Amino acid sequence: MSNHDLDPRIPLELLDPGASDPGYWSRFRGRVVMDAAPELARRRRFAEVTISDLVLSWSRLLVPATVATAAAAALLLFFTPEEPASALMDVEELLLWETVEGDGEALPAVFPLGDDEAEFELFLVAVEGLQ
Amino acid sequence: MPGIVEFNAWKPSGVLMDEPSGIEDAELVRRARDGDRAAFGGLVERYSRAAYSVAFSVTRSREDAEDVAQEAFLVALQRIDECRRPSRFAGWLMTIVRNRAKNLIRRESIRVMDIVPETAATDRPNPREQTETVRLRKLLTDAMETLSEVQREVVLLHDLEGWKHREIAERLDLPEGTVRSHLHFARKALRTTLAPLLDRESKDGNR
Repeated sequence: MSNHDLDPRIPLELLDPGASDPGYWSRFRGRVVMDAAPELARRRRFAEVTISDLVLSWSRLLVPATVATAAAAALLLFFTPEEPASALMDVEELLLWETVEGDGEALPAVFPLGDDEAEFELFLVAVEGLQ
Repeated sequence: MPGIVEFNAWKPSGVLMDEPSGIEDAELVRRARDGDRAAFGGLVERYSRAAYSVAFSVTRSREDAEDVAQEAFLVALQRIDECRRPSRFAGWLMTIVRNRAKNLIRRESIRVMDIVPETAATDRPNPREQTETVRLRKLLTDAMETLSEVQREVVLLHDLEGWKHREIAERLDLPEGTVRSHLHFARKALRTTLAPLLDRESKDGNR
C-alpha cells in the first residue's frame, strides 16, 4: 500500500478489505485456489495424458502399419510370377534369325549334322540362296 | 510435479514483471496451464488486490468486487490457453475482471448501494470504531462515485496497490501520460469531495 505520495492523504485503505483484516487476502487466495482445484486437476491429467497419449498414438499407428507392410512384402515375394529366362542363341542362330526374320523368308529346311565341311557348304549355299 | 515454485519470498502485489527475484508472469501462466497449483496460487497472490480494485471500480461494492475478483480468477484459469501473451497476463486478467463486473452490474441494474459489514476479522474494533470506519468508508465510496471508472481504476491501482505509472499503462493498455492525467484528476476530485473529512483528520493530526 503506497499512498504516501498523496497530500493530503486520502484514506483509500478503507476500501481494502485486508486493511482491517490481516488474514483476508490469504483466505481469499485459499478460496480461489480451492475452487480452482477441479480445473487444475483436469489440466494436470491432460498434461500427463498428452505425453503418454503421444507415445500411444504413435504405437497405434506404427504397429499396424509395420504389420501391413510386412504382410504385403511377403505376399509380393511369394506370389510374383518368375520372369521367363531369356532365350540363349548362338551367334549363327542369331544371324539366321535376324536375316530370315528381317526378310520374312523361311529358314532353310535342314542342316544335316555330323559332317562339318558339308554342313559349312550347305550353310554357305543357304546364305547365298537367301541373298 | 516438477517445477513447483516457492512463493514465500514474493511481494503480494506491485511486483514488477522484470523484477529479478520474481518469477515472470509468463512462466507462472505456462505452469498454471499444466495445472500447477502453486503457480496458479502465485498469480492469485500477485494480482488478487488489483483484481479486487478493478472490480470495485466498476461495482463500487466490496462484496460484489470480492465475488467478481474470485470468479474472474476461475474464468481466467479456464481460458488460460486463450492468453496469447502470457507476459501480459495482468492486463488480460483485468479485462476479464472488468467485463465480469460490468456483466454483474448489468444483471443487477436496479440495486441499492449498501455498505457491506466488516468481514470476519480476528481482531474486530469496538462498535464505536466500527461505526466510524463504516461512516468513513461510506464517505470514500461516495467520493469514488464522482470519478469515472478508469479514474477509479487508476487511483486504486496506484495509490492502494502501489503499481507504478508504467505498470498501470502496460496492464490497462493506456498511454502512460493518460494514466498520469487520470491519477491527477482523480486525486483532485477525491480531495475536493473529501475536503471536510481530510481537514478534520489534518487538524486531529496536528493536535
